Amino acid sequence: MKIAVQHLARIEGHANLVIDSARGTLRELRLEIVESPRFFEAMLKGKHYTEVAPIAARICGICSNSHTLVSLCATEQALGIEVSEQTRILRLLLAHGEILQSHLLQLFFLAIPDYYGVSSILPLVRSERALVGHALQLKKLANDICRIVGGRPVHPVTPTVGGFLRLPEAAELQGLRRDLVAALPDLEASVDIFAALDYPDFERETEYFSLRGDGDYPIFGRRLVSSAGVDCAVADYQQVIEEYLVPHSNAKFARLSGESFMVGALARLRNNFDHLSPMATQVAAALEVGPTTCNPYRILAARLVEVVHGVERAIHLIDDLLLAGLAPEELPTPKGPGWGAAAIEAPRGLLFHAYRYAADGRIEQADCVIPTAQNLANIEADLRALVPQLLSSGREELTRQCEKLIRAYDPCVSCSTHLLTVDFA
Amino acid sequence: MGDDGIGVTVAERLAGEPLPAGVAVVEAGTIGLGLLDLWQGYERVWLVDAVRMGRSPGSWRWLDAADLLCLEPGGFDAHAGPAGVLQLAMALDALPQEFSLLAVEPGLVERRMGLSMAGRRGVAAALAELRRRLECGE
Repeated sequence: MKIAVQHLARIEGHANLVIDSARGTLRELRLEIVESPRFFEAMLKGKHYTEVAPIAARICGICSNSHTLVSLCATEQALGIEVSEQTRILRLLLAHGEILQSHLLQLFFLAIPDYYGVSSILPLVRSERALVGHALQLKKLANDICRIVGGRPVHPVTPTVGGFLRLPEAAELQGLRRDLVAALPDLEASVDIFAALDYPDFERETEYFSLRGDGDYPIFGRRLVSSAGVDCAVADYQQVIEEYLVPHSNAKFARLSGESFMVGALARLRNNFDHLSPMATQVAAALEVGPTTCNPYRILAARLVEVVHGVERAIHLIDDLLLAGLAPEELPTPKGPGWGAAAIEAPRGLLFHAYRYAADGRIEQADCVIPTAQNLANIEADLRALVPQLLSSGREELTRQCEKLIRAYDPCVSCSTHLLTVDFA
Repeated sequence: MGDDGIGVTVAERLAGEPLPAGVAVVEAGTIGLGLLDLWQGYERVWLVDAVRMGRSPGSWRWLDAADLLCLEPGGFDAHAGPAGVLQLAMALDALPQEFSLLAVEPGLVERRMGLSMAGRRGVAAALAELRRRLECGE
């Protein structure tokens, strides 16, 4: 039996799935990443530090805030710039806003049709009007966080090297806080919806890789950990992640201690369960996801736990900002050229940027490692374990379950294809 | 990306001009599903963007929702492009009273800064058309 799913639906970017089996045995399986490479690192070479983050943000239209924020952090590391507590909190708030945006889009608009047996969200508008309305309300709230802090819902314009070009008004933050509190009942309804889903019964242990929070569920951080014992500084990420090429992908694949590893919501949750907010911990119990979960379909549940955590955390961050009072700050000046690396927990997982700057403040060398590229080998490994279990179920069911599994990872293919074989020599 | 910036350039220029009451210009980037929030409360929505239509570079035409769905068919996906958002808005009965896309044919869409000559002509023509419609209250 040969199955070729051209252009997998409801993921970001273009990928194909090819399965070849004979007499009940899987002969070949490929997740083909066919999106054209985009060479962003090459584009960054020679760019002044003031231009780098807005260009890097264009790697992705969904996680543009994460690319902006990690790019700024890498530049600040390289140039010896310290940011204020106010900037740190605003950046955290913006990052939570983007995680909410991305997770809500994936959960309600891309993943849930799989579980309702429809091809997209559109048929659900009629049959599940309340669910769709409620998803749109939450999504708007996430957009509002990004708009108020970042200046617009995607591709933020206010964050800059050393701080912010424009600060939110206190009244805007107060309104946002009110809306976040008002959204809590909607979130309870979401938990009921996702707790009732029939997640496929498939488990495969892998290596779970994330930042380790320092007293908080991680967004930014300096320490990388994995379930297989990796424990190192972010600055050493190139020493622990091995990227490699496969013939069927325009994106690099990656390995850590073993042949594949997972990044993203489930990896974060497993490695940082003790840092979840109290409400998120309760939701995790209701959704049956925890530090030992190894069913990749339950990444959806981990995502919803992070939505609840993010809403709670955003409320507290706004409280911190309002209590301290927002004040314009002078942007710090760079101390000198150098190399800097930073990581952020983007919606889909660990995102690294590292830059080397010359004395004129222009980039000599850039490296970006994208969450989806880290997950690709793991998705293929999951599929290789899953497909033999489903070979007797027929072509249609096999295809449906494989697509559902791939979508659970929420791969961002366009992001992952930006970096093929770029030589700065 | 060269003439892919036609829409952004039109929005930036128009935003710097005096506009009639009740008119707002937003450079929305790749806003996707957020369009639904953005047009809430407005009766008319005009999008401006570079669209490959196989016409002469720098030329333009108005497309309505039906045209757009023909140009970019398919269901709702992660890209949440205008067609997907339109389909969702139609299903939700949340389309504005008037929705149009001012589509400008790009010349060069490639890795380069700034617009091509054809792209600049397209921006000037799009601005003239928008000003005309704003002035006559169409």
